[in-house]
Amino acid sequence: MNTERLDAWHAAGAITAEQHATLTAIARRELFSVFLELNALLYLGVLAFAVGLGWTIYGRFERMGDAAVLLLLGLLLAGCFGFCFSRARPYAPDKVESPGFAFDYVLYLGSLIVGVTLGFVEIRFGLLGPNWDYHLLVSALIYAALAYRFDNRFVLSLALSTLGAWFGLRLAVLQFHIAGAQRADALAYAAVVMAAGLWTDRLELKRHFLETYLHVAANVALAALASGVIAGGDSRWLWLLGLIAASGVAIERGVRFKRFIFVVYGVLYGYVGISSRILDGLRDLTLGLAYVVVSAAAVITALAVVARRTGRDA
Amino acid sequence: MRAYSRADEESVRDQARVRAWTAAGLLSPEQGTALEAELRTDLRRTHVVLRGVLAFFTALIVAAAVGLFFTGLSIESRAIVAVVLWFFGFVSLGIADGLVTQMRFYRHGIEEALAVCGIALLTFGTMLLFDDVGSHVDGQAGLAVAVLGGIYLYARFGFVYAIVAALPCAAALAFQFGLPDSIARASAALVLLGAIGATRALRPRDAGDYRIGDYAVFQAAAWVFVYLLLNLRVGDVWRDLGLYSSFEGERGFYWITYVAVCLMPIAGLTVSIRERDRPLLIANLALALLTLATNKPYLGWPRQPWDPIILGVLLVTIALGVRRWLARGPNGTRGGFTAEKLDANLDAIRYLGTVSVLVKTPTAAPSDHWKGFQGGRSGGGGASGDF
Repeated sequence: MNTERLDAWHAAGAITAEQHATLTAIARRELFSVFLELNALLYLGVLAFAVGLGWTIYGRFERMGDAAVLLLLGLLLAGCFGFCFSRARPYAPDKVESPGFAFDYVLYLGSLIVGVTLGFVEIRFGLLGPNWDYHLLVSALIYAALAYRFDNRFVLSLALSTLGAWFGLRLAVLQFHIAGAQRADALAYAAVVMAAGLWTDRLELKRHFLETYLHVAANVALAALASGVIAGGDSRWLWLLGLIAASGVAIERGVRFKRFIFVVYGVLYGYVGISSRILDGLRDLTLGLAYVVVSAAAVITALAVVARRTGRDA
Repeated sequence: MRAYSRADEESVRDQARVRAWTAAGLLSPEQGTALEAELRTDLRRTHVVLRGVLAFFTALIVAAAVGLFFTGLSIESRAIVAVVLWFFGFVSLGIADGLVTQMRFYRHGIEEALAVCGIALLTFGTMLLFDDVGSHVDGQAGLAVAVLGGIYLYARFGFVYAIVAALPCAAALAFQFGLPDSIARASAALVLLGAIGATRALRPRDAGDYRIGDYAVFQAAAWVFVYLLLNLRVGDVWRDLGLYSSFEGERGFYWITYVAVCLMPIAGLTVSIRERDRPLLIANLALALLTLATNKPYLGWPRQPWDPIILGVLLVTIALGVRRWLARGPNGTRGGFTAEKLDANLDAIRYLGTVSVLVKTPTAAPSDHWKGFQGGRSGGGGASGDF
């Protein structure tokens, strides 16, 4: 920013002398924050550590011995959670600021180690027998409790992905995969996630978490419905009806609460699903291309209208 | 040449800064609203998410319209197809220009997609025209058009990503002459280093100039592309994506690139800290991580499962060490650097928290089927085999 503008604002009384000094220093890059970069390093460091710990323990436990592994994991857990419980601010249902720079990441690390530990115990001792996958549900519940106690969005996301794993879903980068019987599981998962988000929101518990729940639920539900439409089969029209309804809800809610990302989810998933049905029925390439031109133009027009009605220029 | 006035460009960028400062608490919400109103322009802008969707559907329309034209007319001659592609390219560019100059669109998605599609069509048309001329001529001509097109899009509309996309096209020209791999890579790196030199020579000297951020992005992007050209083991990081490639060139070149790959992040970090250049700083932090990740494959050493633990401890130590060192300085700053939030984009951390749901985390497989960690179902705590 040109500092002359800041000078003019200061002269006009729009900003105080203190603000003028700080903002001028930032604009001139005399004051340079590396807060984001340090956070990114911490996040990557914690993830890398947890990855390595998982690989080492799962790959080498026979050489290390169960006792040594459990002792190591126990010490790490004690360190992480000892730190968190001793430093945490008292619980409050509203947003609670993190008590320190590293606090959120120590909690995230501790949560990841909980998963490694539970997984290791299940592998080695088979406590749950054929119901081994219930350790995922237990992990998800522990993460959710930790996320609410310490107001941590990273751990909440971990809880949601682990719950998804218990439902049999893959929610990994480049591996979002829903097929066959998984679609019903995906819809059930999305319903549970959405219900949990809305319920905690109604109870006024960490209302700022709601958006995370809704992002996950909307994507999983719409992807499951769209994949059902694309896969074809006898029930494709049922999937299509469901997709149109869900997309409509996402668009309507997105417009109503001015959350355009949900409008986009509704438009994109809806367009892909509906177009796959229409293009499947059109055997002629020319007609197919004409459909794309007309439908894409219609989408652009509709988005422009929606955006203008909600006060956003488009 | 530029379709937008300097005052408009400055106001748009200053609006973004005022918004960031308000979000960071450096300005009160009332001040933010008042100052933003003062910076309002008559440009038609839209929400960033909507911008992407509008761009996607516009590109879809252009692609389908061109396809529709060719399916309607069965044209055999490549020259005529090339001319038709050029025609569509110029039409596309013309409409984009009209939307900007007549309707005052600014980063609206539609005009951006039209302009980018216009250059893409000119590039394909050119490649097709020179297809029969001789080896590599089509590639040379097409890439040259793409580079010039990228420069035009930035000069006319200010699309920073157009130059960022033009940089690898310029580098790829070096691979169009049938040169040995090592010479082609070295030549491409020289082209990009030349681009960095040009960027540094041409960038505005006034710290308040709105274009200074654009030039910082060009420089950082060119530096990253030089690194990716020289790091012969970068594909090892993403073997799962099939990007692995072996290098069959001279051993001397191999070790020269190893030294370059080790020194580049250090040099880049030094310059970025000295010049307080955020794009270069972020780029070189990423490059430093890539160097660490590719060090063992470069040296031919076996990877160990505990390697990420060492990396993780290193990263955490650096982050906490730097944070503590800065915090202990006078007023929490040292040399103008601070670990305080200031105008940091806190939305980025919130967004990272949400997308963490995609981080593949480890799980246990049934003990009677256990054959070592193989990825398994996602979720659960810990780490996966293919992180």
